[in-house]
Amino acid sequence: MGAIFKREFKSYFTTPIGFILLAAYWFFLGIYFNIIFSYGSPDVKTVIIAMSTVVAFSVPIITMRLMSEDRKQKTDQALLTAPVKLSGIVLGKFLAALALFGLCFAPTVVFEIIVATYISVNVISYIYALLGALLLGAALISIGMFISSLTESPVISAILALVVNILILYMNSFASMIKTEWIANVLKRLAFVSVFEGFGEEILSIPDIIYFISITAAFLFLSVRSLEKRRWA
Amino acid sequence: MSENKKFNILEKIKLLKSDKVKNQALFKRGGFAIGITALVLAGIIALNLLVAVLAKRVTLEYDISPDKVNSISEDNEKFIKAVKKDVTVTVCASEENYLTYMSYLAQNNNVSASSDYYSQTLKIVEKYGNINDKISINFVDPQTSEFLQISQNYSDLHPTVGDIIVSCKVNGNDRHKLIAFNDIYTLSDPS
Repeated sequence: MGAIFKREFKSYFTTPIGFILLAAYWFFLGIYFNIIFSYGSPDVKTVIIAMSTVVAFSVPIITMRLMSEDRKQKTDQALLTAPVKLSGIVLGKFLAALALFGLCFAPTVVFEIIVATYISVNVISYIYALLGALLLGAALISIGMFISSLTESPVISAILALVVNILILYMNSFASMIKTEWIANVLKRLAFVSVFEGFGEEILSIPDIIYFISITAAFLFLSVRSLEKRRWA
Repeated sequence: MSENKKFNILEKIKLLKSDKVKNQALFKRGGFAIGITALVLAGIIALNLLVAVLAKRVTLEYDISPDKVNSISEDNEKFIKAVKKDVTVTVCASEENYLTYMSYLAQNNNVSASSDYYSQTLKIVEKYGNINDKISINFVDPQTSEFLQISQNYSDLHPTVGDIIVSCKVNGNDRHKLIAFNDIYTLSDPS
């Protein structure tokens, strides 16, 4: 698993993808921070929560090559016959993507330090918002990875993941179109953006944490099943 | 010649049998894989449902704000628990649009604040209902006929968007009180 993690993490920086992604995140984080700081309520957790749209569009770029590239380059055959568990392959790739995603939010640490020099800050609520971003990223990465395992075209994988991300993040927006009340309520409650915004409200919610972790676990499991299917096909 | 033909037929039967066995094995393994996948996914859904049910009975949310602004004080909690009569808290806004209404009302007073500020009211109102079953929380969209009915029932209060009406039946008489926007929020013009 460690070798796969290293290989995947390095691959983000042997191509421009990793650098472009970091630049894009740091640019948007900087802009949001500047707006909020100049607005007079310097709250770094608000900056993190404001990133949900950027996350929706960027995660497919992180995940598009995770599985499909190996299939395209035929390196999956070496991987599938290597003495490593399928769960190890999936976890290695997942953690590499998550590490890159985590790195994207690194500037918020600097922002928090800057704000702390001016006013007293609630570090716990900042850490909780950051945890929310990581959990949201983990859930979306696992979904993107599963989609990537279904196709050998990174472009198709990216487009599909983007559509799914937008649907799952903003499904609360479609709730008003649904007449059946309980379905509309479920959509509102389960929309990733509603859950993610809860991480910025200074209330540590165990159900929200479990929700993101269980989505991640479900799609990691499905990714393993998808690889398993290919191994025996 | 006939012996050779017989041999071919036997070979074919053997091949067909082995294919059948292989297909059966594949079906069994495929069926098993689908079963396991369905079981795991069902388990994950069940876990989330269980947590959602538990959240209504046990505290699974913790206030991490420095001044505990999202919590109800111990004294207040004791008071809420002591309520014996049925009390209805009617929020004159739909739950999902409450923050938008509040932001709009604040802007009318030339004040803009983070929506987190207004969401505290929602969280606290909902906690009232969780602490005591006698207290029911009712969100009424001002654009519905239900709101029109409430406006007529409480015409003496002149309820408007964002107001909260607390009502209780005592000896057949309806006792009610209106909590308006300005009773909940203190506004100050930053300029």
